Amino acid sequence: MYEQDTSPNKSSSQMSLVFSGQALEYFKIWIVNIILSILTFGIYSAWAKVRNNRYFYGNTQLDNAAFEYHATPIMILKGRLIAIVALIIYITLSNFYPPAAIVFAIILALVSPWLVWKSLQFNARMMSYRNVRFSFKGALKEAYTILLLIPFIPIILTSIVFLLLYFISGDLSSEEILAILPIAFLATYLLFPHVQQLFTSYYINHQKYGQGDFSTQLSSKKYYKTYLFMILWVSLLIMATSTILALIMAVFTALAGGMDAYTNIQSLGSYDEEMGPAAIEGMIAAMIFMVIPIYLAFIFVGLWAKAYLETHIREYVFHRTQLDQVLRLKSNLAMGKLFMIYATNTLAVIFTMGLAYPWAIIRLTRYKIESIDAIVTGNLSNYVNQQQEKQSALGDEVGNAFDLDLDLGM
Amino acid sequence: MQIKGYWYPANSAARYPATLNIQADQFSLVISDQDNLVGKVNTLSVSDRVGNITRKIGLYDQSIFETQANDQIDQLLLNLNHKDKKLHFLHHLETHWHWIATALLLTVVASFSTVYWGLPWASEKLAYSMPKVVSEKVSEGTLDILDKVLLEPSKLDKQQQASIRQHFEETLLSIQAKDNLDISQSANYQLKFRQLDDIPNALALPSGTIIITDALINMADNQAEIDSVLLHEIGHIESRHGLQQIIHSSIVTIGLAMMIGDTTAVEEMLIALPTLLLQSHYSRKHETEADNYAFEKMIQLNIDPIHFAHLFEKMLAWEEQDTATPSRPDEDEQDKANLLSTHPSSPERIQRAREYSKQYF
Repeated sequence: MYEQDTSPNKSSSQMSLVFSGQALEYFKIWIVNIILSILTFGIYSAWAKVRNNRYFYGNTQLDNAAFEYHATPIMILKGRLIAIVALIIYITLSNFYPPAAIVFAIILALVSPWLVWKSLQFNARMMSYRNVRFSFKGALKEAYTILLLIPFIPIILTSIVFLLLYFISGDLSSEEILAILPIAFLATYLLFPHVQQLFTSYYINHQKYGQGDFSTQLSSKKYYKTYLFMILWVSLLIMATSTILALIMAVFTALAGGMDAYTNIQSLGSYDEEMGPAAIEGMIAAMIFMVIPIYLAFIFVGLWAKAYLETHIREYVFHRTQLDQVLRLKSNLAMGKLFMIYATNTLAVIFTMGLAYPWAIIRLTRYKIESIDAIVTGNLSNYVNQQQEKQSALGDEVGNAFDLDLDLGM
Repeated sequence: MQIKGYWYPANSAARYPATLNIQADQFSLVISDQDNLVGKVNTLSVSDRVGNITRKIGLYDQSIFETQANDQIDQLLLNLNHKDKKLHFLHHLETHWHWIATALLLTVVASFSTVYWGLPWASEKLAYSMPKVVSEKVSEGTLDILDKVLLEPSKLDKQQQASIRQHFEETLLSIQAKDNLDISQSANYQLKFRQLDDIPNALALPSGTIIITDALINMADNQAEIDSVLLHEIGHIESRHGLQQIIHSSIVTIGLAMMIGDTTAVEEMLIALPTLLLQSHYSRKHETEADNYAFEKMIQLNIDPIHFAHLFEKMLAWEEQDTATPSRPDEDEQDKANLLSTHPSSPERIQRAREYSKQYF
């Protein structure tokens, strides 16, 4: 056979992923995508999505080889048409026949694990690296367990409790219902980190590269710890932010109140203890003036929480993920830097009314991609495409239609 | 022409340095300086160019040649009039500044005109094309819910109610009947008296039901003042403002969902404020329209629009004493508050009523 290009694969080597997208270059692709989508009443958006994904995949490189996105616009277009029809039905129903909208929402909840499963398959199959495709082999049953059964355990248990109470006392008081329902909802929220862990494990452990298997071992304990610390930090941040905002407000009120005291002394020769009109005006002015800063302050707290979770979860998950015995990953994401990127990106996008979006997304992607290290200990050249098992034409058509972008919180 | 790159055998991740040589319409691919694959260029399938990402060239044996030499490949496709140059115009658009400037300008113009004219226009057209049954469906049950949670039966005496209702049907509705030749499309007007604590208020449901509170009736000094409010509400119903707002907010929701895709909680917070501002701007426009409708009908009925001003001055006074605000914020603050308000500021509405009055009486 030919002499292979095996330079980095001889022994263990560590290399960073490289992102070579450029803000200006992407801006031009982005604006053409938008205007053509507008001019074609949204039909071009399917082509736009493909060009967009090809740009981001194609500019992501490991060891001088880029990733590639293979979906065709027609596949995307079908999914979009189905989604838009469903959305229109839902909005029409919720405005005109609210009970039917609830039924529709329940049906959507029942099919959503299937949609997620199909999207995982689609998105994996449409990605390749060095001529070899990724694939997803997770079972549909597991998607239903993780996304539908486990999150609803508290609700199911509550319903059973209600039924039991009803049979014992023959009557349900609204106090009982009001006491138990919040507990059920709280329990659902408390389950979230566990569900996220299960879903991430499901996603990685059934992901394949050619004949190779990705694998990971995650524990929910780490997820709960991360969320707990995030909540503690966020509480502190909110307290600090509120204190600062209240102080600014107090200064406004006091300044205006000083004017009151002045006018009161002048006109009546006495000092009125209650807030005068100017003080109240000052407070109203402060409130109106503060709406935007308060709004931004809480968005920043939200972004901070997002950066905190992403950094910690990514580091944990990447560290425990590998492809056979051949490739391991490492994340060097720094929380402070990620937060600063989120914060400045948000401000830039707001103040340019969206025009800075390409620059913002390229900057974010570059940081996220380039903070990944791959440690290659084997030979990637041995990977080959697996034979696609034949699917029914209909199953393939419908399956191709969905390409939800899933957020693993990383 | 010589193009450097890598070659992958069919379905394999094994990578070999390779060079593609082009001679007229023939190619030969030299792999690891040893072997040759040869054939006609038009049997190659070349991926579309996007930015400067690696180009993939598929060979007849399912193997792949990849290269960064995008410009050379483009040249080749154009020279040989290759079938895979058909989407090359997209790359042309994406790399020439005059096209970018055009796209940017068109996008800005299209966005603003959609928000300011397109959406209101489409909402209006859609609202008017909906059959009467839709208005009825939307309003169905609304009065029942309001009666359960907010409203209490009126404490006005039956005689006063009857006389106001009679005036409403015989005088105010008579001019609607004249305007509306198509009876099947006209709303089914009904006047309801209710109590809402001691808040003076009136509201209209798309089906034609108008609810007026006791406090408002008591606040009015004469029939003309009540008429001004009722005509304002009729204006909302005649112009189908309720339906228009439902359609408008639905389109905004679908549009944003499509543009932004799946949003996270943080992003949702970010788009909430602009959406709110847009909706309240739209709602203020409708209030002004309903006011104008009321003024014009009052003139038709020979009622002085000054009564509208009188009633609103009383409302303003009531609001001030109710919120116990000793003074109004100055105008500049009011402008800022205006952005979030669903109604135009009351002094502005009173001013407009006075102008109408001056013009005709």
